[in-house]
Amino acid sequence: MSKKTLTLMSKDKQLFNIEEHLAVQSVTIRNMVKEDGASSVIPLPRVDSETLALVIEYLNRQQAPEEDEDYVKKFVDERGEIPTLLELAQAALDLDIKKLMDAACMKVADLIKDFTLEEVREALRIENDRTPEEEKAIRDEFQWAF
Amino acid sequence: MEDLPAELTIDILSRLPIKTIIHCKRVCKKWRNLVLDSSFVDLHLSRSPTGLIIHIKPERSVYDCTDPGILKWVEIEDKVNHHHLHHDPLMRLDLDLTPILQNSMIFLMDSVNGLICLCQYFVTPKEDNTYICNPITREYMILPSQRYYRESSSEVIVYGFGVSSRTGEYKVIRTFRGDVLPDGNKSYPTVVEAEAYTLGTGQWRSLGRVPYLLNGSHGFYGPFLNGHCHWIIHDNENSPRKLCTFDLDKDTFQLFPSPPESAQVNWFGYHGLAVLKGCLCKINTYDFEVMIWVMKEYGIKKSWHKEVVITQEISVDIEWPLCDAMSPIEVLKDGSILMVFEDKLWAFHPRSETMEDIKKFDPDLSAMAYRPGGCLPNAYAQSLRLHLPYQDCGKNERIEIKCLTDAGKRVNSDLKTQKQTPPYFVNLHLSRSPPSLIISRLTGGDLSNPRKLGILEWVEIDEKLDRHHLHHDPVMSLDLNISSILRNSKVSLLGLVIGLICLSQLVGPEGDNTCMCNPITRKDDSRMVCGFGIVPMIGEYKLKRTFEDSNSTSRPRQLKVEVYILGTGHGEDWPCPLLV
Repeated sequence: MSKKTLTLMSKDKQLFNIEEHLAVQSVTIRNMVKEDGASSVIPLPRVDSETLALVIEYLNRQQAPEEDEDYVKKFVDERGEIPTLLELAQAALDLDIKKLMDAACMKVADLIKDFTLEEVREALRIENDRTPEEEKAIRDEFQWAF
Repeated sequence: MEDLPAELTIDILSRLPIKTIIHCKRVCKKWRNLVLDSSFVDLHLSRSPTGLIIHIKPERSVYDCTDPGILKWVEIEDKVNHHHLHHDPLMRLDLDLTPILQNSMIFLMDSVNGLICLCQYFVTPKEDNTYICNPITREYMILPSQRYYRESSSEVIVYGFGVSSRTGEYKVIRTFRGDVLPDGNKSYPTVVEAEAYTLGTGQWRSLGRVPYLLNGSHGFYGPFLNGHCHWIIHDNENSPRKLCTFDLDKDTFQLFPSPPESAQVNWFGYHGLAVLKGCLCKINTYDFEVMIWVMKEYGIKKSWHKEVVITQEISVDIEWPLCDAMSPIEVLKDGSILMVFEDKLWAFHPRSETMEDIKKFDPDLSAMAYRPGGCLPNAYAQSLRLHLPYQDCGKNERIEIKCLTDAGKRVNSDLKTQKQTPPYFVNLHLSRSPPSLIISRLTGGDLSNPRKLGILEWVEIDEKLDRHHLHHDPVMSLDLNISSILRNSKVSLLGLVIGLICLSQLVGPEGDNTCMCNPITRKDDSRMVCGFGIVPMIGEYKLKRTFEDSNSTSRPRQLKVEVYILGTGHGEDWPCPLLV
């Protein structure tokens, strides 16, 4: 029996092929395949091509189950840039690939753990909407943590 | 750039230490709301690590023993390549059973969802009691007296403890076999009666005559699996041993497929049942051989498979012929089988075919697999609930230690069902927080002599696979000097649930106060209490206090019980317990 192949399309309309039995590690894809056989192209409008390439690399891994956990850790470690990791986490969230999402989020948490406020805001694309008074109130409440 | 989805933000934040989360409240309003807008939810944690409950029996002979011993909770670090049993003296949760269970013997029955079932035998008068206990929260309840009870030593009482998969009700099954009826009349033939107690109902129900003579594992209990309790049937000598189950949904006994063994082989040796890796197992211990049968698919006779055989060649440490049953309790990821044999804890390694004596604990123990998680539901209020004391350590200075996140972890469980609701974050963070300790250094002694009361310290634990370290960084430390607010009184640490600490303050011989405090936010609240816990389904924190009724004229004074629900502003009276 020949292995069935699926085609995934990224946000910037690039096409990627992947064998179906590997692609269904994504719960989202698994459900699509179950529902309509997913014969045509599966569009992923929130995932860019670079990230999708990474996801496919991850799905194509050939690890023994007992080495898998270490592999996922190493996989995200090697891509230690926060913007890449966030894209990867978001793609993993959309595609419902739990292990990859857990590992990526854990890595981001590790990286921002010792950041200053400004750095956290910048890393996670957040605008500061707190007034200095509000900041002071928190600082007073949790003096021991600062 | 687009905003990150809230789900992703929550997931990342929940992996941060509490200190960083406080920083994060300052990042932006959305984050503050995510973190602040959170009442606690009360589903239990399904991710708890595997562990054991070990019962260290007192050294004296079984027959004149008056000391019920100690329960220990042991966490197992279970990896594919190795395992390690953690019983760090700082982290340990030893329950000294002596004060509440005096002059009796205690036997471990079964553990379901973090609750354990204990059986208590008194030596004089010859009576028995059944307890359900959550060792993590230290709550326990005594079940009411059953119709048939122990009067001599010849009765056989066999237990089962489990939860109905349909209704979620916890049930204790107790079968009694003896010659004596409660009214003292001799009765032949032997009475074989079963009774069931559903937690929350307040009374035992008769199930009538048991169709089979049951023999439990270790002689006392039938392991619980798949909505059923399982026992070996004590049958006539010429047929193979049969199995029997009790269906907790339907309340019926029925026969169950047994391993394909011949009748002769079956009569000799010790036979026991266990649940290992989610499968029912039968363990046969003969003079020179031990075999473990595993039922791979529940209820399918053909799936019985002889998985492990231990013979004389593999272990020189054991004395052959064997004169005690081997009782497996847990299979670890590296394949080792933890078992109790001759009142000691062993690990059998199937790959190397060796038997290792785990000399970590005092011998003369019994043990069972245990996963924290259960709460005694609120509906059980009519049963007596008290707290077990911790084992005291130290002499003049009492140091009490409670594990902050383990208490917190209990709340968290099926996160999927809670997705998108605010408490989701709190749950997620609790489940990912590293363990930490609250240490109280409290000076005990004479109340009339005012003295410094001591300090509460918060200690974070840095836990790695190969080592651990207790952080108590002076910059980070959260030492609450409790002397300033609790002057001239004696303070003791009562309990700790999900980050809230409950302190009791004795002001003098006549007065006492209770304080609730959150050591992280340093907010406190004065209440009267001596039991403290959270009601799982509705998320209420409850305090319970037992005290002597000063209006009572009888001596000793009558005891009263009061319960206070946080946030309601008033207490409610509970019926007075008979035993305290």
